[in-house]
Amino acid sequence: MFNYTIRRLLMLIPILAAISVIIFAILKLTPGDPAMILLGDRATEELLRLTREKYALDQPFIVQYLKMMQNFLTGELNSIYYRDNVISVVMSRMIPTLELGFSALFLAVVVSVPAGIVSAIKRNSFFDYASMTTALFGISIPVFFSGILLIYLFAVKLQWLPASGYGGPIYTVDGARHVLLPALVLSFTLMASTTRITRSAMLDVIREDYIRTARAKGVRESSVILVHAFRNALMPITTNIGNQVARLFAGAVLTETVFAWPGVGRLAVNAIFRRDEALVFGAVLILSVIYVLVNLLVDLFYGVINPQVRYE
Amino acid sequence: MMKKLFVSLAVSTAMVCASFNALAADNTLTIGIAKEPAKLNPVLIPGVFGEALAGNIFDTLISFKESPSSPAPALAESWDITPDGKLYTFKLRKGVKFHNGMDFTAADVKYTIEAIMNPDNASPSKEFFSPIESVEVVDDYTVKLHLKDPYAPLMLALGSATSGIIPEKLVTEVGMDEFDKHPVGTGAFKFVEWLPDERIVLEKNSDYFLTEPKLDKVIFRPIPKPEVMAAEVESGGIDIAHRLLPQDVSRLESSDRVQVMTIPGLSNSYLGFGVNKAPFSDLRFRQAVYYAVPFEPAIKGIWKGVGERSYSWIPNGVVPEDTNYMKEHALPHDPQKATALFDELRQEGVLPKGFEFSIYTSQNPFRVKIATAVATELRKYDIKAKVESLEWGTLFPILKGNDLGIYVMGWGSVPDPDRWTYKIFYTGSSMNFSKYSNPDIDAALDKGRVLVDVAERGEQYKKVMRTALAQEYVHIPLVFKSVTAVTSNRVKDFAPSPQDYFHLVTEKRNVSVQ
Repeated sequence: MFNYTIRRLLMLIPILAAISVIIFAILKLTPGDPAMILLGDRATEELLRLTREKYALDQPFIVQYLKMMQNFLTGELNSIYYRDNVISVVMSRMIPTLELGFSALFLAVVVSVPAGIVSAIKRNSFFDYASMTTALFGISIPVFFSGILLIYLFAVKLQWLPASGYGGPIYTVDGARHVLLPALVLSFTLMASTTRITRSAMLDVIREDYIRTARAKGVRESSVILVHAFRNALMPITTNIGNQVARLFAGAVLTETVFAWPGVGRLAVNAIFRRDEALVFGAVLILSVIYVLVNLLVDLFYGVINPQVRYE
Repeated sequence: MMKKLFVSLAVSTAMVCASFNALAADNTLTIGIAKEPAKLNPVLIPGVFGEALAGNIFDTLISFKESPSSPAPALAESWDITPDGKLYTFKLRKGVKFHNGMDFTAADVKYTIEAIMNPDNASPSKEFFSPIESVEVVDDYTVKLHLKDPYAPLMLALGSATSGIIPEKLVTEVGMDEFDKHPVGTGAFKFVEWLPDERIVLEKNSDYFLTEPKLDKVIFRPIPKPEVMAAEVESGGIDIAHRLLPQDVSRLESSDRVQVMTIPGLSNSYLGFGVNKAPFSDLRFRQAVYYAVPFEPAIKGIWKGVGERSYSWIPNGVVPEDTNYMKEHALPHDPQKATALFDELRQEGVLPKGFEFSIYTSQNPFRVKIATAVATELRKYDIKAKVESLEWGTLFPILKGNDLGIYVMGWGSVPDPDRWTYKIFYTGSSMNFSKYSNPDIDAALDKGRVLVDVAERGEQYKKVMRTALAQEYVHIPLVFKSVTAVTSNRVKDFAPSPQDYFHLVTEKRNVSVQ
């Protein structure tokens, strides 16, 4: 398992190299001029030339790429907009994004795994139809719509929760109150898919012979479901949750904008609009590292839930 | 058992919510801003979002905060301009201190103006100071500006938030960029912290030279979605909201939790033609488009309640007043004339059959709607226009390029006719997206800058507007957008500014919360 982990970590190098080339190419293919955007409507030819020189935007692409990669690796890549180190800019937003992501993940798992189990046990019941229909809505309704609806209900009408913004770390009361609505909205898509996958995984397992054997032996029904069935259904559920982490980051882009959340998603989107090439470059690379690491963790977790898994 | 648990959970949640809503009622003002400023260092501020805040941290020599047309003393107590308009002498206020305790003197004024003019700083305001030849420090409290030529808009440039005076000693020590992150001025509020995308916090400067601010703390919170900003002000999350959608404004007007204040604004939206490219270069084509589209009802429908039809770049109330002439010479909706002109152009081969082109605009929903209305109307004349609504980074190079046909844009400014016209109509100017070039107009614009007499200056701008908009129809002016601020009922003495700035302490007002 140790060798496996090391091997996976070493694979990060070619992955990041490839991503860096792709992201740089996309940045350079995107229409728009970072100097023009930085200067806004007051851009004169002279100012544009000075700005391009200042940020080496007038150099050939390959030189710009190598310089950017070198600066990134030595931790000296600076954002043209923030005039600050890219890694520290991204890391300062990472905590709010992780807080939002984990709150959403927590809400999703707490709601959807039990809902999926019950739906599977009581197949074709009212609860099953109701939860599957809700899941369908959860997948279909876009964040900017459900987000605004919830804000209107909980902040304007009921006045229970703040409409938007970051209230500090989530373990503080104010932080928790602020994270609740965005986390709920972000968890919707995750809830939907997790409920459906839990239900289908449980249905597959419940039909197995060993479940029938357990019941025939007179094992208590709750023990049949939780110990015999659920444990064996965990594999696809875990895989799904692992994959969803990428979607959490993607969903966070919209959720963070709607809820004025100071996270990496909003930072990256604003950086794209501002053509802050260094910041987009750095943010994508850092997010890629996190994504690869989360997937590695999920793969390692398989061994915990299923002892048959071997890492070669 | 479960029931009891749920009931107690619900009760405790409600108590927590209630107690924290009550906490908000302290002496802090929270302002929602549509976009975070790029910079707070006046020398580096590139646009309206920085200007809107900076006036609270920094002071300028003179102030236009209360009256956009006549300057009030600020850091300068009095001033004198020689009759030839080439020498400005400012007597500075004594005993003013920067937030870090350093004394404010004439050296800081000289340093600030020279920093704006220094190409190394790439200051976006540089061009407004180009007529200055030198800045002379006479003594600690007297400073003289020597100009190469007279330059009438100089006072407005000196009163703009981008000319806030910065402390020489501190800035030379820490550098322009670092100073931008921790700005220090002489203004009513001291900078405390800037958490990007989260908040900018200011606290009161008890030693402010005008008066002691009534607010202890001001928080600016960037809220990108206007719908969410409306919900925030309605639910008490923020005290002041701006740049809301018309539907939210009309909903909030009937709410008893907030006050809605609307005043005429200073930003014009317009439809422009690129005059370098056929058929747009042909005057008859531009007239035909003007005749073809019922602009009057379209504008009323789109900017319902949030703007007033414009006929010129110079708003009502700003010299020179020429609205009647411009209104009379605006072209009415006349499909027959449009058809006749388009037919003529087709016969001459200027306008190809089934002509296709793009109308470029930003993602501003109002502009997209009017562009769509124009495209729809033009289809009736067998002209297939497509609306391309692009984000700024993609749009800007297209506007600067030479392949532009029709575009819908807007621009706002300080109330001096030079600011609306020079950048937009002067040959090769940075906002002259139409690539319009007329030596007579250039000459008039140059004269407008150097003339000192208000009436004589006004004549130049009348000439520019009448020629470009009522003879050559380079642009079709659409609307002056009004400025709306929505405040919670606890805010007292706040008034929106025509440029959508947040002036919290002025010579006449001192904003407070109850």
